[in-house]
Amino acid sequence: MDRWREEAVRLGILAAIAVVLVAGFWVHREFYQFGFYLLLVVGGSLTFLVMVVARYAASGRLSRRGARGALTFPLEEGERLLQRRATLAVLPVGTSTPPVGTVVAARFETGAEFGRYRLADAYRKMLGDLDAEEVRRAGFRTLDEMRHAWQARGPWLPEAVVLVARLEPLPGGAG
Amino acid sequence: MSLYLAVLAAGIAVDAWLLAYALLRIRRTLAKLTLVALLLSFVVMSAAFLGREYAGLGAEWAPVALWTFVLSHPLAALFILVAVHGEALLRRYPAVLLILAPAPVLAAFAPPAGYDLARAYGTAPLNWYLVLCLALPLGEAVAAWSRSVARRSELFLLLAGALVLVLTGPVYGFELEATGLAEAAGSNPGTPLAAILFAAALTLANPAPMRRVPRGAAWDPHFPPGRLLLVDEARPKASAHYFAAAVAGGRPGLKLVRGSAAPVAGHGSLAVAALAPVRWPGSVVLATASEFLARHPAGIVFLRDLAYLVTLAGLPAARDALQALRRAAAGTAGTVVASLALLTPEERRDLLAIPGAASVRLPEPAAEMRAILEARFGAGAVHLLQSFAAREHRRLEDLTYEDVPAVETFLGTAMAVLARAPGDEPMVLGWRKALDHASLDLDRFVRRTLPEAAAGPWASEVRRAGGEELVVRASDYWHGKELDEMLHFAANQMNRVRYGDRVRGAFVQVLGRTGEHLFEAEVRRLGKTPADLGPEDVRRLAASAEAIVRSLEAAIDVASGRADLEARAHRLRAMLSGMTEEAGRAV
Repeated sequence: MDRWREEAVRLGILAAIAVVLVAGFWVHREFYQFGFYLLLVVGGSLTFLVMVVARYAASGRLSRRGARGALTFPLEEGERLLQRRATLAVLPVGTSTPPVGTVVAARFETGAEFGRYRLADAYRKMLGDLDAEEVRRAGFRTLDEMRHAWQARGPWLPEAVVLVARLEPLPGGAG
Repeated sequence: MSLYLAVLAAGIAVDAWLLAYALLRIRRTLAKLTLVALLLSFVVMSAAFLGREYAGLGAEWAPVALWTFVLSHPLAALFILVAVHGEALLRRYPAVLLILAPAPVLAAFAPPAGYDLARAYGTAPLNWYLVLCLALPLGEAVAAWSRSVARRSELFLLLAGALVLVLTGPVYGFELEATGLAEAAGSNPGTPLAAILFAAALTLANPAPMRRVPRGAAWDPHFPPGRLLLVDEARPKASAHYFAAAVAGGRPGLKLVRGSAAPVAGHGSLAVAALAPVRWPGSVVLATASEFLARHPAGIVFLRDLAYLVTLAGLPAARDALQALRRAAAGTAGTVVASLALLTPEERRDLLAIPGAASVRLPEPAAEMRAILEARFGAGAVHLLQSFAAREHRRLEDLTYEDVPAVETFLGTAMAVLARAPGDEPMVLGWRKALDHASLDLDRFVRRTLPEAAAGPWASEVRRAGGEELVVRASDYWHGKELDEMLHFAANQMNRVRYGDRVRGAFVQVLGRTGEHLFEAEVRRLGKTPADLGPEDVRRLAASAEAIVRSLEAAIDVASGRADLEARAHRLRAMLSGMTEEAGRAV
């Protein structure tokens, strides 16, 4: 029912925009004495532009719910995030992240999305410089445990630079 | 017209609110002043128009409405130019203020009947001036927006604001005039929308809070004036050291670091600003640096966490921001320093290719200290350095320039220990000489200026290239005995003293005075003194302490008391096992 109501609101807004556009074209056509072809080109372009923006906004990408990008995690790391045992993700430095503050879709390596998170912060550190608090927030009890888990990605090199992403689960978005 | 009246009245309220907001919240001094002047002219202009048209104000208010309307145009142009080009605009191009000059000239040479507000956009030469004032910032905003990567969103808001002023000014005025709705001509209902866009641009690119610092020296021996200096280093230690030295010499400095948005303190001529995780980091960094350099044209801006900007904004935006900073520093006595620490080799190469940017490679102080000591004491010197780091509860790679005096003191103590070790007089003399040489090398390393350090040679690289043959080593004084072994012995002696204190501290911290008695009793049981305790003893102490606590637990009936004792035992065990693990790593 909620989905229908949401859809009705979206269509209502689009209809209102359409009416305003037609009224605007009519007034300005009368005022500037536009010819048919000019009205077709200018009006058509403007309508197209407005509809594209409206579609983009309706997709949720302007709001906090629409995902702007995706982060892929190994099974164990995904589980830690899913079970809310971790709020930090330690990723390879080359990982591409969307802008801070936006919503990311979290996926397992198999491609299945397991939740949506707000990317609260993203910074770089050397693996060996991660402090106890960061290790804890990454879902590990000790650095040794983290070091052991890291072996799945590659050798633990203390001088290796990693990307640390702070993820905040969205209400109803994770799990 | 009542709807139009309501729109204009609401516009005045919005403009007035934004005026107060800008005064209180915006931290870019010059941009804030021009925005406040612009909003003030909007408020007076609209209020005078409303008063004249709907509240029966007299004809004496006509010039007020007209000339605030006229003045709002050059003020809008000035605001957009300052917002686009930064706080240094007026210092670099003071002629830009001439944009205000035609207003009084036009007022002085106005036609005898005066200009008509309703036909302001249709009367030459006044309309030329007004259109020029709108076209100039519009063109600048379009050009800057199309060029910039780091400030794209901020510049888009400024561009949109300029566009709104054009649409709701001359275009809308022309339509009103043509349709015969002359009553509304001379007003601009778009001012609140433009004001909202302008205020949003300044808010989202608001400089990070920073303390005001006094004016100071305009020069220091480390950083070249008027340049962007990129420091190639593994960790931002060397750049931070030279920046601190320049600031200690009295040069005003701003350090931009990763952190929360809360104001960060500083001292003397140092200001520290924290870059929080924001959507427009490039705009914030540029606004912060621009504001500081406007206050202190000879100051230094140190971007310690450039890697954070790269992570938040992306490499193209970070490069664009650095280029903008290079332009801001060029032709002034100011310097912008950025550390390339934590960047990948590709990112370093990309940024080092920025045209006009100077770059230096600086050594890692921990590696240099190690190399200097190894050159004098051989490979065993690393044990001493590790022992020092462990004593300070830090890692070897965390050591910086500021640790050198403490390292020297520590070495002196270690050498005193060695002097007491079995050996002959020439050996002790050799140790003293080696220590003096090492201290001299360390002092020389710390006292080098940035250009000297960049020019080298670095002890770490000399050793790697096999240059140690030229160095007179302490082992030359040691008659056939193994030097590394002795250094290990000295480091262990120092650690043992430390273990006794640390284990006692752990017992007292967890169990109070009882802990002290327990510690003394257990050490006696081992047949040792606290100074003799080593890592192997800590393990045994932990086991016996746990056994005692278990027996105490069994004697307590109250569940909460038992739980408390259990928690304490757990804590003590964790602390002691941490010490033994640390010892395992250090060996």
